[in-house]
This record gives sequence, structure tokens and C-alpha cells, in this order.
Amino acid sequence: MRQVFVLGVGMCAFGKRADRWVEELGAEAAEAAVADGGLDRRSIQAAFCGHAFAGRVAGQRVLAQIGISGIPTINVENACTSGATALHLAWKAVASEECEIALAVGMDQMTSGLVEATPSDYEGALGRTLPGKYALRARRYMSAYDLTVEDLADITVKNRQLGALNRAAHFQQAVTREEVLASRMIAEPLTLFQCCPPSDGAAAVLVGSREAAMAAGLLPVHIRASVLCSGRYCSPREGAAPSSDDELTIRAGRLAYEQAGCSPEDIQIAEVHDAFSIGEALAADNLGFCPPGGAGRLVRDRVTWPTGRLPINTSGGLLSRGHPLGATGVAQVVEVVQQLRGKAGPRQLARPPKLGLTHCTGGALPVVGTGSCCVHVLAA
Amino acid sequence: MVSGGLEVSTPFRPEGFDFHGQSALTGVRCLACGEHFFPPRRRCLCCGAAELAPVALARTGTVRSYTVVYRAPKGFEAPYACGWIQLPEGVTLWSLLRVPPERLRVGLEVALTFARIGDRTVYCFTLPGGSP
Repeated sequence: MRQVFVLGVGMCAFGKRADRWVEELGAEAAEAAVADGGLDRRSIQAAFCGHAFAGRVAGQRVLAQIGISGIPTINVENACTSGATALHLAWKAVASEECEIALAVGMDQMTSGLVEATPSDYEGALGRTLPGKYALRARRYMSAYDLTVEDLADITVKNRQLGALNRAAHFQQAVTREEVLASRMIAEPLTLFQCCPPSDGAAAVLVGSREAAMAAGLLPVHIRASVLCSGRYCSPREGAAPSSDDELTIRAGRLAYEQAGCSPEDIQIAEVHDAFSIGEALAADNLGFCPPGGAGRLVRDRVTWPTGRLPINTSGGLLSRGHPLGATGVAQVVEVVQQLRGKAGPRQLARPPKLGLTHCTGGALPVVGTGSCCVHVLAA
Repeated sequence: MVSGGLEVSTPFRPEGFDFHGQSALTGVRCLACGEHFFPPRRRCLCCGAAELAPVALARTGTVRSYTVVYRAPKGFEAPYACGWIQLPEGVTLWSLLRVPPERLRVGLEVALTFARIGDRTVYCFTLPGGSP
């Protein structure tokens, strides 16, 4: 496998974008990525489009908007990791020397309210909602370790504060801990402000070989690891092993560190799947950013704040940027790339990071836990 | 698939929650490796074997985690309590909980019962020794 580089990134403003077709949002993001890379669009040889709700041949619909047709286009569904999965495939296409330059687009237009369970899902038939499931994970973590409702609220406080600096974010207003805790209860202990909004949006990343990056004369960001894993059934006979939901991120993280030749301590910035406040705490723990059970301390000691050792979700995360399912995994990479380049505007970390990580998980399913997980490690 | 008087439908269908006269949940046990599953499935997720026998699962278990849902999906009326129930066979299942919210805690012992939701009979777990 050869090395793969990020050639260009782009995204559209997330939020309520009902005045646009979803492919227009995708085109806006893709166009921005092409412009960012300063590339001739005819040099793009393959496209991968991640989405959960955008309908048939969504990728081709995007490309047709930006003057591209005829290249192999693959449409990808993997719930909340659809976009990250599309990027993984684009990475693979370049890494395996199938092509020189590939485009990954993630996008979705969401209806308001809860994402419905599939009809064959018995948990859905018994009232499982996604906030409900995260609430169970929260309660379990809080009963085993030192993590309080205040810590959870502070994750929202941090991410809303950062979202206020992100002009592409759905929510751009800071909130206080009291406001977070006083917002409407959704599933105990998670209040409304601890749940990501269902947003419309799109993000795009162009990847290419070293030669393609050099030809474009870019400040290259190297994709040191691109990992896609699916949930694995964890037998109760494995003893006190982590739950399937946790095991998935632990495994994807370890594979990514191995591929990148680094350890969790080397990561200087991360965008993780905070669909709900607890999601950020669980991801931080499962990715090895703290000792097991230490996610509460991480928030309390402000390690994950922009001034800390490992800033998490500087974009505002899903909690502020919003969560168009297919767009999220790609938008996370857009943020980390901007930070690594030192071009994240008002959110730019004082000391531009050298090594960043993105993590997202998607899809709840009985017995197996979570459908998929993608982890990317990016280096300046 | 019918075996030993227990009816098993794989994969799950909404009408699978039709517990007329049942006193226990039907799961399956892998004849090759012994793993238990709920709902019943065609193959063992542990070893892949196809030989699975229907079994009546234990009627009591413990609460692995719980929540009270205030934002209900279609067909449900909020608030309602639900959680993961751990059965002695090793099965963890999702369930509604008919337990007063102040009594809910991780590790609580609960017993199987059945309840009506709209026109469906569903299983749920409650405090042992009768409804609260």
C-alpha cells in the first residue's frame, strides 16, 4: 500500500438547508474541496459518496452538479459512518494504486426528530431510541466510574463554546452548564442540549498519491491510518470484557494506532463521535486518551478543552456542528486537516497540532451493538 | 420453526411479539457452543453453527442499565422506563421496565411480565413479586 495524502477539503454550512437539494449541498462541499486543492477537476478519477437518506445514485447527482461525469462512483451507506466509510474507500483506491486522485463526499438532509429504528429491529419495537441507548451507556459508565451529570453537561458547554467560533456550525451560541442541565429531558440523564441536532449538510475530502500532492504544490496532510471496523458480538463468556459497543471503538482505535505507528499519547487533536455528550466521554476512554474510567477527569481537568493537552471536537463536534449522518465523518476530517494546516481560523489551536485523529461510529443493532466505526489518523 | 412446544420466528418480525399465553421468553441455545441468544436467530453469532434449539429463558434477571425516556418514538407514550436486562444465561436484552423510577438502579433484580402497548402484547420487566 502506498501513502495517501489529503489534497483538498471543503464543507457547506450545516443547519436547516431545506431550500437546497441534498446534491446541491454535496456539490457545494465538493466544489470547495476542489478549489481548496487547486486541482483540475478532470484529474479526479473515482468518487465515493456516503449518505444514509440521500436516495439513489446520490454521488452521481453531486458530480453532475460540478461538471464531472463518467468516473466510477460508489454510493455508500453505513449510518453515521457513511461519510467516513466513503473516505476510507477513497483512501483505499489511492493506496492500492487503483487511481491517483479520489473524491469522498458525505452528505445528508435530515428530518426533524429521532432517527427511526429499522422495522426488523426488536429493540426499536420496544421503544429503543438512540438517545435512549446512549443514556443506558451513560448510566452504566456513571455507575462504574467517576463521571457526573455536570461533567456530561460540561462536554456540551465546551463544544457549544467551540461551535460559536465555527461559521459552518448548526449551533453557534455558547451555553452554560445550568442551561444544559435545565434543558428538556430527552432520556435520563441526557437533556436536549446534550443531543446533536438533526442537520442538513455536506463535506468533501480529496485524497491522492504523493505525486499528486506534489504536483498540486500543497502543504500535504498525510493519512497515516484509515480503519473501518464493524461491531463484533462479544460473548458474556469473555468475562468482564467491554460491551460490544465499547469493544468496537477500542479495536478500531488500536488498529489505527498500529497502522499509524503511534500511541494515544501522541494524538494532539481529535474529533470524536459526540452524537450525545456521553459519546465524547466514551470515545475518549475507548480510544485510550485516559486510563479506563477516567473520562470524567479528562473533562474536569480541562484536558480536552482548546487549552488542554488533547483538545477534542474543536469544530464544536456533532453537538454544535450538527449531524447530517453521511456528512459527519468527512466533516471531522475537514476540521482536523484545517487544524493541522494551522488554518482553522478563530478555532485554531495556539500550537498547531502535528498529529490528529477522527472517530465516528454508526448504527445501533441488537446483539452486535454498533454497526460500524471509522478511525483516521492524520499527520501534518 | 417449532420445536419442543416453543415457537420461534427468525429473524425477528414485529408480530413476533405475540406472547399469547406464554410465561417465558423464547430464546435459542447453540447446540455446538452453548451460547444463548434473544431474539432467536438462524445461526450462532459466536461459532456460526446452524443448530440452535429453542429454550425458555429465565424469568428473572438484573438491570444492567436503565433510563427514563421523555422523547418517545412513534407508538410510545413518554415518559417510560427501559433498560438492558441481564439474564443468567448470559443474554442481555432490551426491555421496557415497569418499575417506579425512584427504585431503578444498576443491579436491580427484576422479573418478566407482559404488557399491552396499543394492540401489541410486549414483554417487560418489573419488580419480583408482582406489579408495583
